[in-house]
Amino acid sequence: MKKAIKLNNTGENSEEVEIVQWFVAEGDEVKKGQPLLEVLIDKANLEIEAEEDGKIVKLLKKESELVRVGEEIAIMEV
Amino acid sequence: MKTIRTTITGAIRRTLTEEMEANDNIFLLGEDIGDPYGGIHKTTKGLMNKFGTDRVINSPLSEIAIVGVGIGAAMSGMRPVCEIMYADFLPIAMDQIVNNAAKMHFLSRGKASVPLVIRASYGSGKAEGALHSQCPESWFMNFPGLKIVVPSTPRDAQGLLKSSIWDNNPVIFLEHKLLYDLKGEILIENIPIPLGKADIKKAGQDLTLIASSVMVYRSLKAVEELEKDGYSIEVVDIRTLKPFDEDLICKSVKKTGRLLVVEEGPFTGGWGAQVIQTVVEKEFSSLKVAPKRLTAPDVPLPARKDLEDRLIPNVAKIKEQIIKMLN
Amino acid sequence: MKMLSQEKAKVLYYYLVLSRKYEEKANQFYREGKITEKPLSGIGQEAVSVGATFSLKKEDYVLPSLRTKGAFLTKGITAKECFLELFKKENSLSKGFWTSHHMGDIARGVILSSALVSSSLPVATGIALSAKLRKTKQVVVAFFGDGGSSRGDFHVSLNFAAVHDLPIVFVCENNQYALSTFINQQMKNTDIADRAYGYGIPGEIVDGQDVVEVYLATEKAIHRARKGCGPTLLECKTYRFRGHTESHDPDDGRPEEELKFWRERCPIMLYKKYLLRNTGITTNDLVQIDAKIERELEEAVEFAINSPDPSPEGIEEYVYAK
Repeated sequence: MKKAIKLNNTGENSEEVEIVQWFVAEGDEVKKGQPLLEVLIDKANLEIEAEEDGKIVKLLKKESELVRVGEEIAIMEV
Repeated sequence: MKTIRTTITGAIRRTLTEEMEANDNIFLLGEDIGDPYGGIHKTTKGLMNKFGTDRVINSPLSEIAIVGVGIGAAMSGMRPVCEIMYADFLPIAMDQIVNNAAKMHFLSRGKASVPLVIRASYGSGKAEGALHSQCPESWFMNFPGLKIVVPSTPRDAQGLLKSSIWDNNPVIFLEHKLLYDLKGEILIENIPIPLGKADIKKAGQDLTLIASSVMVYRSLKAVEELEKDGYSIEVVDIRTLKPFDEDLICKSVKKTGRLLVVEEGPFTGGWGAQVIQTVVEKEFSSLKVAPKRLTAPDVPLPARKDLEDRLIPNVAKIKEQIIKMLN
Repeated sequence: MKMLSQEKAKVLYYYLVLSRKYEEKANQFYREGKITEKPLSGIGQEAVSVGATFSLKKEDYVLPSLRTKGAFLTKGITAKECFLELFKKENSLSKGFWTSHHMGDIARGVILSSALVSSSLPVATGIALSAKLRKTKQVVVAFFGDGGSSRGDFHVSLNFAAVHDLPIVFVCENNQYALSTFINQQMKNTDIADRAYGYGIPGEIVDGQDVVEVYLATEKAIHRARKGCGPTLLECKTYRFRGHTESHDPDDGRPEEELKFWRERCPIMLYKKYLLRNTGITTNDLVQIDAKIERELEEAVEFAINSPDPSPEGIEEYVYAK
C-alpha cells in the first residue's frame, strides 16, 4: 500500500524548514526508527525517522529545498 | 526555468555540492566546517558526510593557514573554497590575501594564478560586538588583483558563487549573517551570474539608490513606503564591489540625475565614495544634486542591540535621506 | 641511503660552484653600478640550497628563501635566466616585475615567493596539500631562515602540515643572523630543530657546510614525505660570508673570531677535499667543471645584457587572470 510521508511538526516556530540531506534513496528498504532525512531548524539539525517499515518509492523534495510542516516529502510502500 | 524555494544557506550549500560533484579539484577548507557541526552558519552541513574528509577539510585554528594553504592549492591545479568564520578574522590573513593571493598572477607574469574563493560571514544586527559584526565590504577595495562579491538573494548567491568558483582570480565572497535564512527561488540548474554586474532590484525615475546586501532590503522597504507619496526610486543591488558595474550605474544616474549610496560600513573610505567618484567623473552633467552617501558613523559597534541599531542605516534614515535629496 | 655516483657527485660540485660564481658576479655588477637590485647573497650557504634540493625529482616543488640561489639552479632555472631577472629584462621570468630572489616558475616547480620572510610557507604547505589530495607523490622542499622561524607563518605551516601529514620538508638555513639580529635575540632555543618536537614531527640538526650531509638528510626526509609519513624539520647550521646585502660591509659588524671560524669552512672547499679524498674524481676533473662554468656565465651575462628592456605598455594586463 502506498503511503505519503508528511513533515510532522518539528517544534520549530517558522512554517518552513530546509532539507539538509536525504539519508535514503528511491528503492531503499527502510525500518521503523531509521533516519530518513535531516532538516535544519534554528541553526541545529533534526533527523526525521521512518514511522514504520517499508520501501521508499519516491522522494518528493530535494536537498536545500524548503518544506512546510504538513507537506508531503516522500512516498513509501508499506 | 524550474526553480525550488530555499534559503541563502541552502543556495550556497547546494552550489558547493553541485560544483564538488562535477569537479574533483574543488575542496573546502575552514574551521568547524565538517560534520556533524557543519560550519558556524551551517552552510557546509552534510558535505563532509557526502564527500569525505579529503574534500571537506577541518583546519586548525589559523586563518593564515586557511588562506595560505588555499593559495598554494589553487596554484597547483585545485579550486579551493576557503571559509573564514567571521569577516572580522580576515585581517589575520591579510598578508596572505593582499600580498600573496592578489599579486601572484602579476608577479609571475601570468604563469601562476590563484583561483581561490574566500567565503566569510559578516555584518551587524545581532549585537555580537565590535569584532563579530564588522562590515568588510570596503576593506580590500584598494588591492589590485582581488575581486569582492556581495550577494543579497538566494538566486544571486547561487549564480555568483558558481562564477566565483570558476573565476581564475582570488574572490572574496561575503555573506551577510542576517540573510542566511532569507528565502527565495533558485534555479534547479544553476546558471552562473557574471561578476561585475549589478542588478536593478526596482526600477525608478527620480533617484538612483545603490546598496549592497542587507541595505538593499532596507532601501526597498523605504522606497516602497515612499511610493505612496509619489516618489519613484531606482534601487540598484551592486552585487560585485570589485569590479563594480560602472556602465549600469552611470546609465541609471544618467536617467535619474540623482545618486544615493547606502552602505552598512563606517563612513571614511567606504566603497560608496569610489562609486560616487566614478559617477562624478563620467556623468557630471547629468547630476541635478550632489551625490550623497548614507553610512554608519566612524564608530566601532557596541555589543548591545539598541546601541548598535542606532548606528546602522535603517529604513527611517534612508527615507529621510531620499526626501532631502528630492526636495 | 645510496651514496652518489661519480657522475652525480660532479653535478653536485657544478651546482655549488655555479651558485657561488653567479653570486660573485651579481655582487660585482652591483658594486660597479651595473644593476640596481641589491644582491642578498647566499655565499657560504651553498651546501644547504644545493644539497637539500639535489635529490628532488623534476615534478617536485621548491620554495626558495632569500639566499637560496642554488635551489633555483638545481630545479633547472639557468644562470642565463637568473641574469635576465637580475637585469630586469623583457624576456626574464617575471618580465622585470619581481626580484631575482623571489621569482618563480610553477611549471618547473619553483614557487614564487613573497618578499615577506616566511609568508610563503603556508603557500608551500598548500601545494603539499594539493599533492596529497591529488595523490601525485610530489614533495615540497620549503626553505626559510632563523629569523623566519619567528614569524607566525612558520608555526601555522608546521602545525598544519603535521596535522595533515603533508609531503613537505621544512629546511631552515640558520646562519644565526636575521639582518643584524643575532640568534640569541631571536629565540630562547639554541636549536630551531627542537621546535619540531612542539609540532609532533621529527627534527634534525645538520651541518650546513657539508653538502653530503645536507644531501643525505634531505634525501631521507624527502623519501619519508613521499611515502606519506609527513613533514620533517631540518635545521642546517650555516653562515653567510658576506653582509646582509652587498651594500653592507662584508663583515657586517659580526665578531672577528666567528667570521674566521665560519669562513674557513667554505662548503665548496670542504666538498672538493671530500671528492679528491673519497672518490676517483681528480683535480683536473674539477678544473674542467670550473672552466665550463666560467664560459657558461660569460655567455649568460652577454645574453642578458643584450636582451631588450621590458616595455611599460600593457602591464595592467597581468593584474588579473582571464
